[in-house]
Amino acid sequence: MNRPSGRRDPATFPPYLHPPYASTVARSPREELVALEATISERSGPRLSGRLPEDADLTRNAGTAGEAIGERIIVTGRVVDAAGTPVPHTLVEVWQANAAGRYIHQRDDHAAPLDPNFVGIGRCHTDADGVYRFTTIRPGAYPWRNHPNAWRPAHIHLSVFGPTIASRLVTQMYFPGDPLHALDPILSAVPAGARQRLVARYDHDVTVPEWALGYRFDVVLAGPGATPPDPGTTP
Amino acid sequence: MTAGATPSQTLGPFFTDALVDPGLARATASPDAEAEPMRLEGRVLDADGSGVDDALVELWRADPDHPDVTGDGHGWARSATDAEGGYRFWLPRPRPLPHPSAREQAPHVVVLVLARGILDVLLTRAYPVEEPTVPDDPVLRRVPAERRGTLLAVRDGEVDDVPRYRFDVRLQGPGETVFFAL
Repeated sequence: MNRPSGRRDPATFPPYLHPPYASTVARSPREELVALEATISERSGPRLSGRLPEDADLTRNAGTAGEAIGERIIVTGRVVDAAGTPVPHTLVEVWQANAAGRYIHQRDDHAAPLDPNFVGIGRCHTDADGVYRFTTIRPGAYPWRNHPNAWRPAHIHLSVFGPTIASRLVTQMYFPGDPLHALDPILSAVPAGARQRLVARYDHDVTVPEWALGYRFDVVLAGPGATPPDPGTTP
Repeated sequence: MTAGATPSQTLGPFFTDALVDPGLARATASPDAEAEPMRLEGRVLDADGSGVDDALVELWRADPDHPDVTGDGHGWARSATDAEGGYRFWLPRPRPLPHPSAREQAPHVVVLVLARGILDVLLTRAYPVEEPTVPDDPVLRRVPAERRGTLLAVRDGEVDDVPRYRFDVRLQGPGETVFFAL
C-alpha cells in the first residue's frame, strides 16, 4: 500500500499524512512502509501489571483530600483481540483535560482554571474477562491552534497494550452528541465508516444511582494474535 | 464475527505526566536470562531534521525463552524525548531470535514511536551492531538494500562501562527510517 496510507487496515485506521491536522505534515513517513510478517518480536509483548499499579479513580487521585470538580462519570468497556477474545490483565492508561478543558501541562496555556483536586491521569488493568473501569469527571472541550477557532471535542486519551506489541493502540474516546465531532480534523482523520467506533455509548446500566453517569467504550485490537505460527505451514 | 477494530488517534502533546516516569526507561530481563547491559540512545527527527521534543518512544525486546507474553514488565521500556528530541534506554542486550523461515533473526529490539501529529503507532526495529554493517537477517532482507542502514543502532563508545548504541528515528525526509506495516 503506497502513501499516504497508515500501517494497518486503511478502512479503519487513519493515514499518517492528514493535512487538515497540521502536525502530520512534517511528522508522517513518505516512503512506503515495509510489509512485515509477524515474528516472535511482534507476536509477544509485555505484561505490566506488576510494574504499573492500578490507579483508576481520577476524581480522588490528586494527592489531596479533595474531590475533582465536574460531572462524575464511569467509563468502562471490554478489551478484545481481533478474534473477539477478551484480553485479560492488560494495561489501560488514560489521560484527559479537567472539566474546564485544561490539562496540567506546561504547554497548555488555555485561559481556563486548573482544578487542584484533578490531575487527569489514571491506570487500570483489565480483569479476567477483559473489562476495564475508570471513575472520572467528564472533560471539557478546549481550543487549539491548528486552524482559526479550532476546538477539540471533549475526549479521553486511552493507551492499550493488548496481547502483542503489534496490537498496541493509542486512541481517544469521544462523547455522544457532540457538535464538535464533525469539525475536528483529528477524529475526521479516521475513515468515515469507522469514526463512530471512537464515540462512547451512554449506558444506563453502567450509571450508578445517586452517584455517576455511565459510558461504555469497548476496544477491539487489531494486529496479529499471540499464538506463534506453526513453522511447518509457513512457506 | 466481532465489531470492527478500534481506530487509532494521536497521543497528543499533553501525555507527559500520565505516561512517563524516569524509571520506565530501563528494561529488565527475566531472572533466568543472561543480562549483559547496553544503552540505546538517539533522537527523533522530523522532516526538517529538527528534534521532536514531544515524542514517546517505547522499546520491546522479545525473549526467546518466553515467546508468548513476558511477565512483570520484562523487556519493555518507555522514554519521552527531551528538548533536543533525544531519548535513552537501558536494556539487556537482545539475543538472536527464531524466525518462521527457520533462519535466525539477528539481535534486535522493536521500537515504537508516538507523538503529536502521528495518527497511529509507528513501528520499526533497531539492530545493535559494532560496525555499520548490515547483519544477515530475514527481515532486513525484505527491506530495500539502500534503506537497511536506517535500522542499524551503531556502537558509539560506552557510558559508565555500558556499551552505547545510537539509533536516530527520522520520521520523514532524507534517510527516512524504515517503518513496518503489519
